[in-house]
Amino acid sequence: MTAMRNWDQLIQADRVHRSIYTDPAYFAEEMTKIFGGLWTYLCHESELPKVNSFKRVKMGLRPLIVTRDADNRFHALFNRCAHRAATVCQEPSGTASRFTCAYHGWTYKNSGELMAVAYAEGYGECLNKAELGLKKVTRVESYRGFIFGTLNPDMPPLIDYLGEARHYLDIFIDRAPDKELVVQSGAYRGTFNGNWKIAWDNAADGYHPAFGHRSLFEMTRIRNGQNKGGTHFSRNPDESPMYCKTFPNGHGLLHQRPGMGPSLWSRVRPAPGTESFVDALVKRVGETAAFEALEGAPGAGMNLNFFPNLMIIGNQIQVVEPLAHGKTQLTWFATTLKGAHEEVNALRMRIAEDFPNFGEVDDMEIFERCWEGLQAPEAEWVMMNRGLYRPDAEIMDDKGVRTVDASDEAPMRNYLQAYRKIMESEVTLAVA
Amino acid sequence: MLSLRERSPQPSHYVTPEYYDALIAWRDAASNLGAATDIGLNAECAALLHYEARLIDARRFAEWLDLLSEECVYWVPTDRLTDPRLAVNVAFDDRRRLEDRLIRLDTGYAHNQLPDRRMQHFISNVEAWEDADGKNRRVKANEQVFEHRTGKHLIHYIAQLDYWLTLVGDQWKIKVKRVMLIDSLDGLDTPTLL
Repeated sequence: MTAMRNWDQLIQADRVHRSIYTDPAYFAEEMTKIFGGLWTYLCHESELPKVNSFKRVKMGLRPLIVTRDADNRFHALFNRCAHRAATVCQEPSGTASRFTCAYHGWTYKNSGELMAVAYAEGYGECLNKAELGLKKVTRVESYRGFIFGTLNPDMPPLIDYLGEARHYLDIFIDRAPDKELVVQSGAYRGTFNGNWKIAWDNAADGYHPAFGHRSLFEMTRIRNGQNKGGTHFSRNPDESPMYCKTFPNGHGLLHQRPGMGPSLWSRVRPAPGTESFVDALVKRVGETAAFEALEGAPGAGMNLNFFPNLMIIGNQIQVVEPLAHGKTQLTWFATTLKGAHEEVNALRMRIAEDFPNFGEVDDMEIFERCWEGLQAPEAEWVMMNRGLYRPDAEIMDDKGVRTVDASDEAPMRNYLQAYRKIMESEVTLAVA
Repeated sequence: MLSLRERSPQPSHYVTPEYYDALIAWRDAASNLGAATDIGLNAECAALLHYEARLIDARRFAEWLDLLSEECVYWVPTDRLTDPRLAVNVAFDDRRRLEDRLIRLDTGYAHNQLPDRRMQHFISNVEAWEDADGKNRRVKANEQVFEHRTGKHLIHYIAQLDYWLTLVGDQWKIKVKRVMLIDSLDGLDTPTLL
């Protein structure tokens, strides 16, 4: 099927064909080639805080268990009994040194090896336990706590795949006094009816806020005046110091920070308990130290996206989880800063609840409208040509990074080129 | 009564560590409640909940908000037993954020409210208890909420409701409304107001 597709036609410089969103055949291929063929974000090390911790995740549609074994090594195991395919782990997370299938009692170590089979004599001499472990993701690597996996032997090392974009992840992490992020604060989960790539089209879209988020801006204007929240988008963002970057492998950045003035804290809309927690912090550590620390409470002013499924937005980690070709879950993991004052981390929770409730709700409605509009077969194209007319639109530095205006659609063009590259490749996936 | 837009946001001084501690203690005290035997009290509290549901369904948001005490919280947890200081919630609104929420819904630009989103809240299994001092009540109930726009699929939420009512003057006001969705750990189709 791959050979039948004319990619030059489907993804052009300025437009993309609707079928890559609507045709379920693409979805089936994406769930193996992209989710698993590329470095795919699985979870954060702090979600597996001690020896024998585990967490269920998905890599595309594959159910996985990420484990930390007795030797502190991380594994990504298929949650799929080698015998008759039943999942062997039902709890979303916890601690376990082994997993037993409820169907026939086969038991596996948390590193994947098959330990025991009930009534093994029934297999005579033909039971080869060594080949009947839980299948494993062959390559699992971490970058500063973020665990990724791939089944593709041809992927470069994770650090090279993340490339220059990782320096912006460093900025997000280094806001923590101890330079570590902690992901143990639950998640907000939203689903929308639509293809997962619709969320990607939006991920570094500096063009939409004044329109898509007009309800939030109007509310902010009524309640908080002109200098709070996302009001730096209320005029043409291309005339602001904000910008976008595109990176190799489809990663992208909408950098709002340069347009947000000297203090992030002074821009964030007040949250439940803001005054009482600030007062307590000032009383404890003094005004200067308190307001310095409070700079860590809001997001970093970045939309930073690692293709195919990890996004940094606000003070949260957003994971794109495709459920079907027309259904997608967006999971927003709350994060805390290791070494930060408890008041700062508590305020991070209340700030984290702001955008999903008052911003993402509008995005998800728009995503569903895109999905409905895409059902018209004769209207074939989704346009992404904003900024393309500029003579320097395709100029990149020696590391393959482009820097463009904040409302430019370069990040969308860029991830779709990475999408095309893997989709038109012959990819051989390997499991252990 | 002031419209929502006429109310200026007040500083949030009451959401303190002590307030969070009290919320958690109140939540956990429900785990071994016995039968609610005061039939009159059950009926009185059910009437309040039915009235509240009708105000929400009719989008009479300012009147709904006036059922809540000044130092109120609308709390929709993601997980059952977490400390809100350490965990994100579907919603954890103090009075100021609740006003924000309701004002946004009626800006005319909240896309998923358009055109003509309708809600119906169904309340059942109402049980109520009153403290010995007669100044605080607890009400537990079940709730189903349906939301719909013509041509779109019907959205359905199921939740346990837990209310902390407090006597303000001679009126019972809602101090805490906790809405524990049955599927709070799965992906939600964004609720308007539960």
